[in-house]
Amino acid sequence: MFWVFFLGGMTILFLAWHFGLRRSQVRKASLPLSITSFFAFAFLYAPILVVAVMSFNNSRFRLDWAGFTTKWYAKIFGDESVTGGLEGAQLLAATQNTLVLAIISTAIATVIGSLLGYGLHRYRFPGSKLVAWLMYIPVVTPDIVMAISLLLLYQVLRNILPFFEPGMPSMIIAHVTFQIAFVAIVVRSRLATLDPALEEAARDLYASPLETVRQVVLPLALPGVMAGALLAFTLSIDDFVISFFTSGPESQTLPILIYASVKRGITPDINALSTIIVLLTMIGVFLSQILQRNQKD
Amino acid sequence: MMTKKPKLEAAGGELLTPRQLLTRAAATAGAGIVWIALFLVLPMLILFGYSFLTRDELGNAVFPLTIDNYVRFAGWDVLGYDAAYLIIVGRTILVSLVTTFFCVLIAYPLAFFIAAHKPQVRDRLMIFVIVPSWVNLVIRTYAWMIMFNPSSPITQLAVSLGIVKPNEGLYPSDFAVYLGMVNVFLPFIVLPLYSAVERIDWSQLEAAQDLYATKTQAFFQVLVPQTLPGLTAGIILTAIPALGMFVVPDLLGGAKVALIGNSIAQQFGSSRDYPFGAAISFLVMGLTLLVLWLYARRVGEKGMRDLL
Amino acid sequence: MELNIGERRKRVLDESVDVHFKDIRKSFGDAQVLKGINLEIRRGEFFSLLGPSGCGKTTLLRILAGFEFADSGAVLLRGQDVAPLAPNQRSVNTVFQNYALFPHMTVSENVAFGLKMRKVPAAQIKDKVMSALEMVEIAAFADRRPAQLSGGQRQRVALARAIVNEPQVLLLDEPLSALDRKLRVNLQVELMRLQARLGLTFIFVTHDQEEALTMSDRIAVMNKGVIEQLGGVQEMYERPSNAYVAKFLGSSNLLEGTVTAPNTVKTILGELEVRDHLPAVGKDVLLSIRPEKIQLSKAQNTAQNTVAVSVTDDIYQGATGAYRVKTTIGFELEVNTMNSGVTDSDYEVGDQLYAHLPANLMVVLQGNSRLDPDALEGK
Repeated sequence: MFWVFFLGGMTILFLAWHFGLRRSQVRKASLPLSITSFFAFAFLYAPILVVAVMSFNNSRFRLDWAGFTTKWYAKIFGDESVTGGLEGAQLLAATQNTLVLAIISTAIATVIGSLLGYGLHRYRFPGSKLVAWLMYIPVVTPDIVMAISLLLLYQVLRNILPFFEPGMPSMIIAHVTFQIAFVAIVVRSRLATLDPALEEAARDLYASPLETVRQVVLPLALPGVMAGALLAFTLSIDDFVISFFTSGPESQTLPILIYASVKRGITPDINALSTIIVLLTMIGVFLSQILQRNQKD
Repeated sequence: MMTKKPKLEAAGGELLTPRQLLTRAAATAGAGIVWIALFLVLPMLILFGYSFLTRDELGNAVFPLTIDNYVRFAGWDVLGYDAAYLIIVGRTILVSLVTTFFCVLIAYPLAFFIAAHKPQVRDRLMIFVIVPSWVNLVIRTYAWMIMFNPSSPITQLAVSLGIVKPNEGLYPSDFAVYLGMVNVFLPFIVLPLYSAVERIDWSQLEAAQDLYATKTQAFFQVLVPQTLPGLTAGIILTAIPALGMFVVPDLLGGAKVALIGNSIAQQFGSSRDYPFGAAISFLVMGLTLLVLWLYARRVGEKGMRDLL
Repeated sequence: MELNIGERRKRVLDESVDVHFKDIRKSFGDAQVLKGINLEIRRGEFFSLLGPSGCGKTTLLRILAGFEFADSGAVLLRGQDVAPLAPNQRSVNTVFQNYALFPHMTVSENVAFGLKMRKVPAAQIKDKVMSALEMVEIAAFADRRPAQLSGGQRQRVALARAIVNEPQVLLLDEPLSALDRKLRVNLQVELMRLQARLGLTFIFVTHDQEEALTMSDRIAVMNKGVIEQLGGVQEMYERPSNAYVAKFLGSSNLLEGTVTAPNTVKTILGELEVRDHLPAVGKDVLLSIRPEKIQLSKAQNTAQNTVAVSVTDDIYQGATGAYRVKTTIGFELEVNTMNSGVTDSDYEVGDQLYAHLPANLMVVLQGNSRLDPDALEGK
């Protein structure tokens, strides 16, 4: 039965895990520790794997395994002949919205956020401590509270400027708002690792303030800026709650689309779509981590 | 020879007058500050103000100002006392605490396990921990819906064990919500906790044993306390956002497990009572700000870095 | 052009003043770090600012470089007030304590930086960089990054990067403190040779008195924001002006006493003949004699300025021997001897010896004529 295969597979995986990692251990990790960690990882990856597996399930409505197929992927990539699930146009629009939103908001947030991080790091102006604290609000606050407060803001501002109708501009502003905080924190962190004597050395060697930034600060801060940008991009692509409350009928993003489909009833191409998104996300995270690790100059 | 007025020093080999300092600060951080003021601070103030408005029959938010929304939240409604919302708050706090508890329980061994490997392997393991957290929340929760569906092997096992009635899924249920929440928040605790564990000075274990402590005593009295800052950061990053979570209870709990996040969402959806929703949101926001403020006071500017 | 170090010492220095600190005062918040520093540094000299951490020496250097601003007073560089000039406008270059090499640039690019900023033509940059690298003997590493270099190598790059700009004055902020002893000694000699060859004015900050003594033409001993003594190396060592300098520069035995006759001082060790200039009869004095100047002998010695002592501590240091001896009253003296192979001078704990304090080698200290333990610690 299913369970036989499953448990067998898990045991094999565990053995590979346990004995594979033994070799690279600096301190010996006990067996219970190894078991717990294995299950923790399995637990974390279970949802992803399940979705990936189901994306190959040849069944329109039920979850029973009905044979292997790649038709759901075909559908997403444009094959009209596959029936069931989402409309192709809807999917395309949502993907477009998600990407446009992410790219624009990341671009804006990276510029403003990096400058903010730099200014906070370099200049002790009155209120800089308060601003530094404010930056952590988006990190800790539940998404829904952020979403609601922006929603209400737009309600109020709408009376002054029609610009703030639910839609792409509103979503961009909302995304940029939390992205700026994350970018500023990451950039500031990176700048804090720089030796202050480097800037003094540049000045000592006849560089003007602007040249000091261009020649010394910027090149060394760049990994931080890139890491911040990547983080911002991922946050935007991933965001559901804030987008949900600030979006208009024309500006559905992929997470919103997926949520709506899930509420309506399980649609098989969601699995394929999700798997693709997961893969892309993983690539993004790997890149970001590599950049962050390279900070250790 | 007379000298000019003393100037301020700003790091980086520059001596600036106060005016120059402000100009430079404005040129760099200015845009960000204006943005934050406009789109972070102002909304919070509006949220606060909105919570005192009244909802008219048409569903619009109008004056007069009133504290009715808060009163209603506390339980006193037209029909007498009903602590429905307070119960929801209680349930939400319970879910948040239980989630946090289980996350900590799993995260500690995981963190120590990872820290036991050599640096390159450690880094790679940590990347593997982080990756799932960047996968869309909706997708991950949806996956549990699949796994807890009546026709899945997991549910069928539960049926054969008698835990669940046949044709019912493992969701919607409390259990599913807890599981989903832990699944979402586990990486958030592992990250700061692992940072703290990575920085532990293991030679202290030997020093303690040299001073007659047993291995266990040394471990719990000397090493674990060193992880406290990371643990605190992790708890804050889990417990607070968990309070406002609405996707997981919505998808995995249905109507049975409504948390405060769901109530808020409802006010802005089907119920269309914005002022009331604002009041609830503000309470959650207020709690968040309070915790953040206390945390900042405790750990100082440098300590805040643990949060990200 | 190799310069014999001894010859270096005897070279005649231009009397013109390169740097003039006029009554410099500086506070950081409540702490007064510089309390009125007056100092003239001559062109072409190797000048050291010596003192314990916190004495203000680095702050003084940074004021000259332009990274700090004095609260009052003036700094003149070749007669010109530097106050209105930003650091990048001053013809002064710094070798930083932790080198501050730009990690994202190669060695050549680091060294070329100052020239690049001053818009020197590219062809000239190449030549100047090469000759600077050769001068510090690091040309082979021209294309490496700082991360790939050892501490000593980075030091040289930092040096090259500064001298390539031919500044009027070169500032060195404890550049050798991060290196191990042997390397440090080698680099000391190299720095001295370099300085003599280039003829630049060096202002060298250090807390290591041996280093300052070895390398400098003149030293200023600083303590808590003031200059305790300023002068040539030999002069300052042989004739410290006060107890602090006597104890900071090398070691010293200090004796309180009262003048009883034009050349005699009554001390706890008895009546001592002192050839140095004494104050009037009846006045209190503080005397100092260096451990290496005291002569020990086993043979009975009844000459003036001799005390009977017994050895309480005997520390073998290889080339030298450090002894602690106690007089019959219990007064302790530090004595150093050379391990020249004469078996007679190999003493042991418990030996009964005679210590002779030559009259012409006892120094009268200015300032407080009574010992103040706090002042000695620099509190």
